[in-house]
Amino acid sequence: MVESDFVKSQAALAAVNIEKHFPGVQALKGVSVSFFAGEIHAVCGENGAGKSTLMHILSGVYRADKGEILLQGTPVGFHSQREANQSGISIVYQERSLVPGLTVGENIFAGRQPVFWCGPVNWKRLYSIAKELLFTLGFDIDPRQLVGDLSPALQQIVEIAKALSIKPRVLILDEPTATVTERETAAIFQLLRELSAGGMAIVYISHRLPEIFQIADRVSVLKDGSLTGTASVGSIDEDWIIKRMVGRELYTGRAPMLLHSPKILEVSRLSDGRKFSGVSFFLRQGEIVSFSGLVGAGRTEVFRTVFGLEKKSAGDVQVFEKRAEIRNPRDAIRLGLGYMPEDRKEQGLFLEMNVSENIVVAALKKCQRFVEIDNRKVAHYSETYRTQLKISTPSIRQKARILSGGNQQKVMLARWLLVNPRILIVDEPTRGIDVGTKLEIYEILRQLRREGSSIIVISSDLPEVLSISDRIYVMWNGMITGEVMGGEATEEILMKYASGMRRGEGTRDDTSTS
Amino acid sequence: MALARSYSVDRGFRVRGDRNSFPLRLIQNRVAVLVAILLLYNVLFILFLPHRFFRLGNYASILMNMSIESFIVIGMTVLLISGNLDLSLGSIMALSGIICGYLIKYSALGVGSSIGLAVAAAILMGLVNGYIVAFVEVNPVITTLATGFVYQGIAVWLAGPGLIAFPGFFQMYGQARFLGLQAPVWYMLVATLIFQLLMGNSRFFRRYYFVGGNKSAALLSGIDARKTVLVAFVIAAVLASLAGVISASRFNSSMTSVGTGVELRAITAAVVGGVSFTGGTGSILGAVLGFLFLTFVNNGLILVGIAPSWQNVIVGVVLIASIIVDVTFGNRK
Repeated sequence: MVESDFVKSQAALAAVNIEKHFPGVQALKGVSVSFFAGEIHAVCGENGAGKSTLMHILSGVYRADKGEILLQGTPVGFHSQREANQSGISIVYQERSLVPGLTVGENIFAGRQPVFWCGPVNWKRLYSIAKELLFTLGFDIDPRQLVGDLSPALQQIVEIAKALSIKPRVLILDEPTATVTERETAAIFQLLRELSAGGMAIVYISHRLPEIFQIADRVSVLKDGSLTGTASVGSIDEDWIIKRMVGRELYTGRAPMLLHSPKILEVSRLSDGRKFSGVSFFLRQGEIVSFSGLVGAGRTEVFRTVFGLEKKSAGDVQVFEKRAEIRNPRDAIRLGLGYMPEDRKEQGLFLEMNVSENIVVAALKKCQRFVEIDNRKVAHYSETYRTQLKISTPSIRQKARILSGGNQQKVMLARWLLVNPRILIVDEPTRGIDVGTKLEIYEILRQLRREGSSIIVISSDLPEVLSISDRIYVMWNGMITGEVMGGEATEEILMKYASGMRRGEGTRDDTSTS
Repeated sequence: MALARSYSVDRGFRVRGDRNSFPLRLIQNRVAVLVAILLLYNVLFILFLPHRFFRLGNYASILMNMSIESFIVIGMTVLLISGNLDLSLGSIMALSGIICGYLIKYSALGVGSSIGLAVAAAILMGLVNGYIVAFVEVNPVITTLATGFVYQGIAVWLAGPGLIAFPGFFQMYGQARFLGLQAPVWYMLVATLIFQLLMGNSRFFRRYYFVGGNKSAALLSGIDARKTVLVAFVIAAVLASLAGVISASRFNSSMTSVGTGVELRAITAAVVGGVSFTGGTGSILGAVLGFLFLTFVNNGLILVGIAPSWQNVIVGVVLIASIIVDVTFGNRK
């Protein structure tokens, strides 16, 4: 991928042989890539491949150890993000950079509010500029509204408006559609196309391969800190990207249809009176069943209710064909249910405790000797799972905080493997995790199934749902809109159910009451 | 522009957020709620205790009682909005009062330079607090708990229990009257007005809402959070030192015990006044009204003859009630 000097000088922004070391890691190993005015250039790679390091260097947060950044052919060295902003480079980060308690307008101009000559903020002008900016983006959002009152998608729009308010020549977006529904994604894409048609260079970082084919003109792939390929999107397919991201193909393995194994969990017409109603489904022994749908469809709420974390307003839960009254998580665990929450850091891990403590915490009984915790047993179990799940940590005595997202997720899995629940519910098991670790986690789930556990996977990641599920329920707007066998499902079918365009057999009451 | 309009039609977006109903928003507006409660409170007292409560003297004394500590409330509010707090403000108040009194009494310096040096000492104390919290990144509670002991200790070392009997003209600063109100009340009104305007309308002070609301967002928006927080500690310390100086002048004495417990009263007032304990929301006006409300309650308790020991019970109940209101009506998510 050697680009001539001429090409680099024509680029709106070019990175030339960028190298960056962190203690113990070579994050970037001589990466060269050019972004042109008027193109949407996707950058993809696993977590840890160096994408965010590269973006942070381009936007002035980090400095490169070696190499040059060329802005329209001129070498630049930013010392801060502010300098990068002033040179016309703007970035929309994956994490929210908005303050919910402040208005849309003030968030857009954070720290740069227009002022009168004598000092005070000119609110009228601030709101009128903000309104105009949002309007030219095609959104009629009231700038006096509090950001906290907006939907995630509109917050994302405000985020983009904020980045555009400095009138950049280069716009970098880090996974802008992570929290956004499909319809709103389309609106964001249209906006990006208009901006690029207007001559802006857009750098689009994403894990989601289908999106790249929808929006990007060119794509660059990073792997382990090196650029493994740049190509025009029209000339390649998904496999081309995946090969360069991971160096292997995605594997899909499904269990044979399990029509005769017993229904281990059966839920009938469950409602919580707010987020979902009339939800009926079942899970057979040895099955992996996925719950697909868009963020906010009510999937997590259903399982928090099943697990006794929220109150139900109507409906029945049967475990092993016996009616179960689950009032709190203790009841659920006693019945053999396990629930791995979506948000590892907030709800799952004890970040300041070490890996082995995190693994054994739900199964302390197994580690007891009389009334005392037996540290040898703790170490034994932790080491077993560390090897079995390939948790990469220098030691089981390491704090959970310092592990990577994928390894943190493996620690959570290890915790539940030790408890050995008969029904394991995992919520978004691979969100924010790189492809390599994803595949390992799928393999762990399949392993569990082979050992007789039944698993429910809540996932918004369609390729994931398609590759691991024996059966799939799709939810939309608090209802189950479809039930599809794993072998028959396609992204298209799932999307139709997930957007409420189609309702299917899963909504029939007789499937649950039979 | 016509083009833009057609896009939004094409995209078919629901662009309004879930805006709350008008009554709910009114309940969420703490200043409005406090004003309403204060009015109601006054009406009740005027009906049942017209002779003792509804006198200009009583109102003037209520304002006087809160005036000096209101400086602490203002400084604490700036800190709370930035997501910090300072438990050494009472000690800074005491030490500044002692330094000022000490210089007036035992040095050849004039009153003006003595006050100036007391404020300079407070700036130094604020810098120490702010540096440790913002740059060394130590938790503000622990930091200011520790520095508070240090400042208090220095004050006791300098003056034992305290100093009394200053020259007459120094007392003028705290004891003069204007339009029937004592000088400290005017200082409070001016300080409240200035800081309300600054926090509401100055670009620099608006930063506190960003830093306290979402620190990483502030950093990503190019706001130097550390410097901003450092300045907040200095501002709070300077306001505390002014409280110390005014108190010395007003009572003709600077006692080492003068600021005892004021930090927690200030935090209580701010939270009652709608300032979020976790940062990012609230206003100076709300906090001062919260303080006014607490002072009214104390005054009322005395007037109806409830033992002073019950005052703390009532303050605690008011604090919990206001937090429950916040949680229930979704101010604090």
